[in-house]
Amino acid sequence: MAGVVGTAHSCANPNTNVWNSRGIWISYIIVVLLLHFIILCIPVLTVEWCWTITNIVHSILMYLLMHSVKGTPFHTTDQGSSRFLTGWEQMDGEEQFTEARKFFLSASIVLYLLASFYTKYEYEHFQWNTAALLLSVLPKLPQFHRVRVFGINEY
Amino acid sequence: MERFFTLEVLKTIPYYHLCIELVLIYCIYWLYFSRPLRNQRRPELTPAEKQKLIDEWQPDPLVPVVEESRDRIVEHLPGSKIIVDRDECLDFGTFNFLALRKDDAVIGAGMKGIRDYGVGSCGPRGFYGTFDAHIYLEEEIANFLGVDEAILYSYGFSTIASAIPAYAKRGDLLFIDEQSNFAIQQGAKASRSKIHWYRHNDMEHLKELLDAQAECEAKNPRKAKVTRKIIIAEGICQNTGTIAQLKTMIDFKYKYKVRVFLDESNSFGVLGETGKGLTEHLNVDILDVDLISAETERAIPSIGGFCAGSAYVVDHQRLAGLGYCFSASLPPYLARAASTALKIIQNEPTRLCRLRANAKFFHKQLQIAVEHSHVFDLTGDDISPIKHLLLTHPNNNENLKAIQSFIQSAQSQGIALVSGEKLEQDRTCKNTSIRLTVSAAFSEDELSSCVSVLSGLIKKLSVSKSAI
Repeated sequence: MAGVVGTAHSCANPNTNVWNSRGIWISYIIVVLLLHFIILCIPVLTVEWCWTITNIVHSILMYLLMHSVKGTPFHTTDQGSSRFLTGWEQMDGEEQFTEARKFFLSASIVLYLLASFYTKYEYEHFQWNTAALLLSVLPKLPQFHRVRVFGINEY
Repeated sequence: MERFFTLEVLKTIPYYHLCIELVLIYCIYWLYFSRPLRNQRRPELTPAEKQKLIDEWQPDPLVPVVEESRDRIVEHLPGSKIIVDRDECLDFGTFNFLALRKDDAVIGAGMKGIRDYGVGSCGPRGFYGTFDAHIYLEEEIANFLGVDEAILYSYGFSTIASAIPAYAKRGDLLFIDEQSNFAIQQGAKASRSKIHWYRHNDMEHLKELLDAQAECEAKNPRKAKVTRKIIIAEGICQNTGTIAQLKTMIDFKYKYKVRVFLDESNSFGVLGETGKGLTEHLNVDILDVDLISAETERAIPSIGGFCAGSAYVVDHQRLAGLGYCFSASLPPYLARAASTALKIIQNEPTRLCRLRANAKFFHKQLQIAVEHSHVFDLTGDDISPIKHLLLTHPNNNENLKAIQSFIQSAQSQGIALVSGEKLEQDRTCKNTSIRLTVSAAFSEDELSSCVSVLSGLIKKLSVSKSAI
């Protein structure tokens, strides 16, 4: 459909299936690991803080890219049906509990578990990590589909 | 580092942390055993309900029942006269405003075009369907109107019907005249936007709607920021022949921050000193109108249509106008014919004067004929070449019959008319009018003879009515 995408496919909105494309999950894991290694390279930080910062940066990026940006960058022929939906909500045509959704939701949780483990369950890190966890997990839950709490990001 | 690998650290987990982790692990478990779920699930039907639906189903006949045809057979190109069912009639049915349909120069250009290009373009504009004739015509229209750019469509109906959904999407607002033509209605429907219909040419009502909208927006400015608002009107309304009050709309445009789209299908090549349309007629800056669209099937005797405006606005349609992207482009010879017709409009302003004079003269005469008849009302402005004779007392069951018999008897007296008949899906569908189209080809005598025939028929009708 839209000429700008460059390839011929029958999908009206490429945002719906980008998270199922070949190699995207492994790329995602590699990017998160890379992020972690880059943070590890900063000399003043201890290993614990590196994990916590990885988790926080991951959550913030997730939130910005998947839960705050709306619509699509493509010329779609759907008359703007995705105009008011975030990237996460458009995933798999709004279907819930799909493979991609399960993967990305559990990835956030696993990252939290790892961060907790490597920070030796210290209370200060616990606070930061849990806040980051909520930021990336809550908006992904099916219960929050198309829900705009306190009108945040409503239009 | 050794502690990590012996998992010694696990013994130091505080209990709250352990709880959270267990909950999270349970979450992953729950997630993996949940089944994919569609948001709107179809309700499950019970067997009884299924059976009921099956019983209720009536198959359509393979061949639909066709009503007895009322089609009339036209035998040659319309000038001022036309041969309908072998009767020679004065042609008040065809949109032939400038009498260019039988023009030798236009036909010649088309014939030469066929020899140069063949008959079809073999593809949409984006895929091998662009010919020099298209580019020249687009340029000529843009230069003629004094705008940046024009874009050609291959069918008149799909021009505005594609242009509207290219800009208006879900969540947007359209303010549309109630009597707008079917193409506008379909475009508005396809856009999925919210539509506010304002009463025909009633600027007070439009103002009320805009005021109400402004009130809503004051309550929710964040929503207002992402809502596009567009007023859509016809230059000369096809269903009534009334001229739009563009000046007021332009005032509203700046007051309420809305956009204005104008369908000039019936006013392009008709209104204004040089035929540029309603903007010239009312002395409105053409750049104040966001988008002008027109069919080239009326004053210009070709096929297709165009949209014109600023390059920024028009270019959007080259990827987003569905009728432009996905249908084969206008046959190039038709573009040639349209170019020639446009040149004639520019070179022979007398045609426009004649059309205007004819329209005014005919309006005056018709008004006298219709006055106090209690059968028909005349609608439309005097300068508009489209007139409608509207039944004064419409009677749902009899409308069509009455109008058909009127047209039939007019035809036997040498006047070819058409009813303002519409599709059932058309929201303006009432089928209570007779449409008369004035052409520059008519002489005053011909117009007078038409009026005398009509007034005779009207008198007969009003006498028979009063007798009842």
